[in-house]
Amino acid sequence: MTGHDITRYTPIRSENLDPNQYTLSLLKEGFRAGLIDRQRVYGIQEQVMLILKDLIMRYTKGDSTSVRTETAESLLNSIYYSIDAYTGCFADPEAGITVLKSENIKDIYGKGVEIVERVFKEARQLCQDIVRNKLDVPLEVYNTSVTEDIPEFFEHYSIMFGAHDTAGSFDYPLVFDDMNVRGVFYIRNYLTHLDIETQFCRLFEEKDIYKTLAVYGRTCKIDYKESPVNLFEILVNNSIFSLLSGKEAKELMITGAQFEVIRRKLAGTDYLQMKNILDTAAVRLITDLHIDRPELVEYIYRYINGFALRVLNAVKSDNLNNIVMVSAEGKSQSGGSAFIESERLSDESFRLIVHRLMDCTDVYDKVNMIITGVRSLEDFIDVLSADCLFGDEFEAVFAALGDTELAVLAKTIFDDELRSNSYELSKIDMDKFNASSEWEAAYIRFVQGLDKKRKNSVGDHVAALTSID
Amino acid sequence: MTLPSIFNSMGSLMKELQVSEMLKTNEETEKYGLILTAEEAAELVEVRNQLLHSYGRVELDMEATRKLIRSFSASPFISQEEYAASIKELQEVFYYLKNETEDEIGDDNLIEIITGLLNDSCGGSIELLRGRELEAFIREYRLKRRMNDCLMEGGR
Repeated sequence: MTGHDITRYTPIRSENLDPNQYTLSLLKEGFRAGLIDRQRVYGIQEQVMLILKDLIMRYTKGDSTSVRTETAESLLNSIYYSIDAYTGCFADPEAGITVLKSENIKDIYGKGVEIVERVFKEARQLCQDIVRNKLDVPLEVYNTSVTEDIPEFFEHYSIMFGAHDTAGSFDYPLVFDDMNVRGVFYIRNYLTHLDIETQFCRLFEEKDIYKTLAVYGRTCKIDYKESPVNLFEILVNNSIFSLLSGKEAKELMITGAQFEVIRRKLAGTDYLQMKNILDTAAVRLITDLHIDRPELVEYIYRYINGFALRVLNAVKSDNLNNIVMVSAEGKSQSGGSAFIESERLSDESFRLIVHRLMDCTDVYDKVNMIITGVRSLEDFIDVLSADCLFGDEFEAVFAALGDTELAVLAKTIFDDELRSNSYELSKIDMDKFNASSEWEAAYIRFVQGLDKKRKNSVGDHVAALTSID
Repeated sequence: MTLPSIFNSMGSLMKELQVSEMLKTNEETEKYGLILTAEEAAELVEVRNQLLHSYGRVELDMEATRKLIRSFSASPFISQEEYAASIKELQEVFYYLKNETEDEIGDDNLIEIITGLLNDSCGGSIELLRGRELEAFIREYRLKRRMNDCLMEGGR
């Protein structure tokens, strides 16, 4: 022993080995390298054909000696999948060649089937854990994948006739999902990652997750409930950004002012600086959230590795607001326009919000839906006029608005009156005002009910708005 | 991975085995005065492989053909002159029906159906079998299956 790390020379070129046709590519490479002769390769193929013949009989329950070509190909793929499971166990490909040369293929196949069975059982156990620990989130794709698609895979998967099948590939996206892997090995990877992501999502309050999702839907202008969105990514991003804004990792809501802090902190950084900032934030995130599961720690670091470049690009192209989910709450306090006209909803999104509001019976949920989902004044007024709010619900919506938004609404309702009263809201006799809609009447009732200080503040905002005009 | 690529690499060896299996049927058909020559056996194997290819099927032994020969050789309508040619046609009828009935009928039953139709309704005429009886059989088979499906759905 010299004490040096010696890597053994092997004539096998690992880049020529195909993970999805491992044994066949290993035979080809072994033949090229002179490690196995043609006769043995033919012998192996003949033995595989005998296994296939036997499998065809089992598949047809002994009724038929022939099957359609696609069925035979699928059965052959299934056989090689199990053989690969065994030959792929050896870290050194040459050891795999030795096994193929010395052992009976039927025995190798049998050992492979045992491995596939073991992985299947592991994956099924993981599936049961995931179903039991399912998150209570309004994500249709997640819910369908966890409660229907994944369990269905285990009902239909056949180790014997379709070991390579991944027929039940799932719609819920993961941040790391290697689609090159097939069969039950793919399913085990998928479920392992889903389990890790679920563990992370569980660290946050349900109500915070709901709010963050609503902000995500609004920001990306999508119906997040029906879309294939990855929850882990949304939460880890905002948790990291929350830390960068000086808040705790557990706090997911980021206001406009906090966003500004983040933007300034990240402006002008190069890749290494960005990586350093995010790595440091990741360390704090792991500490603050008391994450001690090694696989979750590793998963977060792996994610952050790729995240640095994304954030850097977003900062450079001034698109950081597409990654950071900025809450609409308290927007009037940050100054500037309360409603953002450029963020009008598409007709489809608008219809969806109105339908949801109609179906919703909880006033808090309704207010939350409007505050987080509607950003432009026009949309806001359209929602108020859409017959989806009733009685006190209007007042509840107005109560959630800041002074600037209330001033914008006042200016919309009392435009003529303000002109003839020097833009002073206090001079308008609201009792005599003829409201043209239910929401206007509700608004007047709401403003009249405000205390003097708040009323004056809204009045000041009205004056400020008219002076800008 | 495609099967043809694997078969091609071991084609000649496999063909020899298949011809030899085909010739073994002579031991059973000899008693009816029916014999396949080596050339006829080789041609039958060739035709069978082409049929499997054109009907999109895979069969790794000659068992179905042997059963077909065993059943057909007992037919009172068969003679040595048209023996090899008839087997060729019956092989096609077999794989055609296999596909048309969507693999739902096992080999033994299907062979029984074919020889039954040939001996009873067609008086030994393969031409009649292929021209009239097969289509009638398939039509009736599909109708029955459809009715069964309806009943199954209705029962749910």
